[in-house]
Amino acid sequence: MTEKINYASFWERLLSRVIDSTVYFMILITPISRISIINNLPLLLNNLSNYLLLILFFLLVILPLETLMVSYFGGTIGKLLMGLHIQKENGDNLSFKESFFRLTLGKAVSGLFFCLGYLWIFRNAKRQAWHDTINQAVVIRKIHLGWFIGLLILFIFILINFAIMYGGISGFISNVNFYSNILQI
Amino acid sequence: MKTPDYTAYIKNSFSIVIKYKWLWIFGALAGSGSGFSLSRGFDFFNNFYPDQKPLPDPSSSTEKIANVLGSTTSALKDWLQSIPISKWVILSLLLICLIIMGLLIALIIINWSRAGLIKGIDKALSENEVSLETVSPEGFKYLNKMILWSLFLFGIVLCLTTITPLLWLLIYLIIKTITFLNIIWITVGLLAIIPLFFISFLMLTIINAYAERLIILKDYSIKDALKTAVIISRKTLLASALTGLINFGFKIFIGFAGFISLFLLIGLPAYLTYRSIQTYSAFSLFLGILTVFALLIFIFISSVLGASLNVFSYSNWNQLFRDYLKSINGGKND
Repeated sequence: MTEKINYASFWERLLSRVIDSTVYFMILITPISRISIINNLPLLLNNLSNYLLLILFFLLVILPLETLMVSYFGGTIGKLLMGLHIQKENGDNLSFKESFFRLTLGKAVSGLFFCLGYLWIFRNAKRQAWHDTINQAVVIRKIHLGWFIGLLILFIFILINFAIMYGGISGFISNVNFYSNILQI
Repeated sequence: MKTPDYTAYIKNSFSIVIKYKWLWIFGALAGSGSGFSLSRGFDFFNNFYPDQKPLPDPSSSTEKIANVLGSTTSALKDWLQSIPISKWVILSLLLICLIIMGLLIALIIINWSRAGLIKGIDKALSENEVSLETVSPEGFKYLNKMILWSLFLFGIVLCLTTITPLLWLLIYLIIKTITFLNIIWITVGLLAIIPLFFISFLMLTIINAYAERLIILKDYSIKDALKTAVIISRKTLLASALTGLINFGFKIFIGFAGFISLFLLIGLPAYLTYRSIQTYSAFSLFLGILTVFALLIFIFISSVLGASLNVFSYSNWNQLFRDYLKSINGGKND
């Protein structure tokens, strides 16, 4: 007996990408909240230069990391949390090379003509975007209430992000005199 | 090879562009790295669009800048001197790695799309099914060879653009003291350099067009493709130059039409919005929103046009290549 395959919808996939983005945002703004409380110029400059290195390092490792996650676990953080799985049409996981092509070339293809490739999910029978089609991949749903879990996790992550941002903004406000002195405005 | 029927080429290319829309994807990406791409032309037109932000008052900002520099320059200087060398090394390494990764991704995207486009057009000319699903694997199949070929070609272009002027400069330095020879060398150099570069790049463009097709459609190795492409280019020089000229002419025409429509659809309403801001605020808001929409539609249409124009150009080259193969095989296409 063949099992019915549940392909992930556009909205589920979008939600999983938003969850990924909130995680990355969290990683990137956490140091800012620490930097904002500094009121010593050399220390501030040191921390800002370290932060620049962190951003560059993040940009460098994020692609290989996502590639590894897609090829080994079948998805990035958001997809895994929501119970979505990226796989070949025959059920195999994508190889490292295929994952790399999916995340680089594939995203470039789907991003063409105002992201028409992503919207293609709506009209494709297997709900494939253009970056799925180029290496015969599909995104399937393994958990039925994945979208609910996703929304819950997104809510928690957004709250954490707000808390971090609040801390950062408070730090900046408490140091407003220091920044005014630097800029002499 | 007899003179190709360019009317048939253009007709076929147009019907391929219209019938096989999947090829637009490959056309859009293949054009992202080419020197004569339409997208580049439109970038120029976008840059032409005047920046209408009001200029800040220079007297107030100068004072502020002077204050900023005055109060923090010494601190910044001290801090810059205190940065350990290891930090600079890490920064350089990270930047180099990011640039290499970016170049690698660009190479993959451009060469995959070029290979896919050439194979896709070949399928279309043979009236086979053309879709993202059927053409995409062909792009991957020849990706390594295409990347190597493009690097090889890049090396040649780099040599041409650096070694030739250096050679000229070296001879100039040798004969610098002899005034008569000096004047002759400068004149010869100035007169010869432009046609020399033009001919070299024309030949490289033609050789590249044939070599890419030999690699993808005939599965040649890079060495064999280069050798054969040089022979074909010599044999079909006039026909190839004309094909290149037709493609270039279409690009210029579409680019010019794009410029005119950009001016009429975006530039003019934007100017009117700017003029009416102070007198008719509601009208200017409406006009501004309309202009933004027009701009978005223009960007979309120009990207589609750019993509289809690349499909058109590649299709002309494919047909010429096919005709050459037919002429040497006595009418057969193999």
